[in-house]
Amino acid sequence: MKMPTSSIEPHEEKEKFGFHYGKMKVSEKGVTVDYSPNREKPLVDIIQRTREGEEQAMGELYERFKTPVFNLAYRYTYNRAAAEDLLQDIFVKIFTHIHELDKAEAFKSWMYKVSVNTCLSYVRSNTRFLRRNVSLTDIQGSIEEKNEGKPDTLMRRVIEEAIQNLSTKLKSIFLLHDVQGFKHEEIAQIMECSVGTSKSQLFKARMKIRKQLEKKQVV
Amino acid sequence: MRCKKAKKLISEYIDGRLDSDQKAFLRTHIRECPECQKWVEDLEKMSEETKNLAKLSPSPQSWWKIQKKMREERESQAPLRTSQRKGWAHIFSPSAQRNVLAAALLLVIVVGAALIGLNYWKGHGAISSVNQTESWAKLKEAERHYRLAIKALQEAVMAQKKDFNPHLVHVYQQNLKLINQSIQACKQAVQENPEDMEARHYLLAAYRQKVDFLNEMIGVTGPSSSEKAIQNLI
Repeated sequence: MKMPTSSIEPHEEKEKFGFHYGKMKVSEKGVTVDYSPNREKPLVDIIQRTREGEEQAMGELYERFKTPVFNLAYRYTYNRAAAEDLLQDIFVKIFTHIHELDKAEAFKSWMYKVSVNTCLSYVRSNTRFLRRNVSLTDIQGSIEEKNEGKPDTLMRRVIEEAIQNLSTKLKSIFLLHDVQGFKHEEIAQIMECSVGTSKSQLFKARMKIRKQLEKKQVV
Repeated sequence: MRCKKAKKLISEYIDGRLDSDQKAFLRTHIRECPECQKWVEDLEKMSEETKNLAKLSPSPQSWWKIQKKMREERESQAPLRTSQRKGWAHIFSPSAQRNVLAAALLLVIVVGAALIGLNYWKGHGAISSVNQTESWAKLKEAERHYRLAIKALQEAVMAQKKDFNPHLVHVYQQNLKLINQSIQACKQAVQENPEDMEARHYLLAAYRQKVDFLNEMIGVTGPSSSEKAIQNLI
């Protein structure tokens, strides 16, 4: 389901309005509301404008990172509603504390640190709820629907199941490396561990996932 | 021992992190060891499939909720509003009485919708056993309650609209248009796939959002308040 996009009638004043869903840009040409991510804009510029409290920049930052952060949160909980709540908490924290970030270049690592810590804290406080509610078979259908038309494979299903059963530490490193594409040096910063720990934990996570694949006779 | 070392190297090999000596060791070992050869194939396949794991999108409501939370955060830090400083006399004004009536009506209707919604979701704990006809009827009932709430709130907003300044009218109309689009999109999704619980959830969330939005518009009266409302909402 896509967010709606629309444009509104011309307006003579150059003024930003709040109370809107996404980006509302006002110029002599008119006012447009646009949710599409503008990937051409440099991230450093968006971060700077966000630090200055510009709402449009916040929207751009959200558009750029909402999907990876949401998917990260989802794989900690395997519960859509919980992942939505986490996504909101993470972005509120980011917007509220972004002025504490020393260098804009460090934003991505910092954002993931906020994300992982928020998710870990949630999982710690809701372990019983999540155990009771996470049944992968229940959400398989919805995963298939949302996978951009790609048919789900048995291997992907078993991988999801195996991720779900990983300990939080192994899961964090596996998700950051294999799903989000971070390097060990970056993971070491995010997780506050050594590069060696990141490498050994990734190996352990992969061993466990492969074992699960073997058990289910997928490999 | 050689296999244990090889397996660690295989994990690093698929990430492209081996130097030439390590690669040479691994190649020699794999040629002689079918088990480690299989490891390479498995981990490569696994890595490829992991890259293709489902990419889920958050609901459109998430951004709205973040903005709302940010506004609340700002408001909690801002000094007391003029209306709060003035005391309680303003609650006897005609517009305030209209708002109180709308709020009371809203409370009754939303509680009704929430109770229906509660039963609705309780009924979906076990999707396989749910009576589809009954759950559909509950969804329709919840929808009916939301529509009633929206109608009452819209009437209250319309009664105040003459006091809105042009900017606020503009913002109001555009946001309403977007929420309506969101409701239509959700309705369409429900129609296309009536058994999709997520689509139903989004539809009810979209109605709730419209109720919240209209509720926020109530209480915005007079040109100065309108300006203030826009300022507060920026």
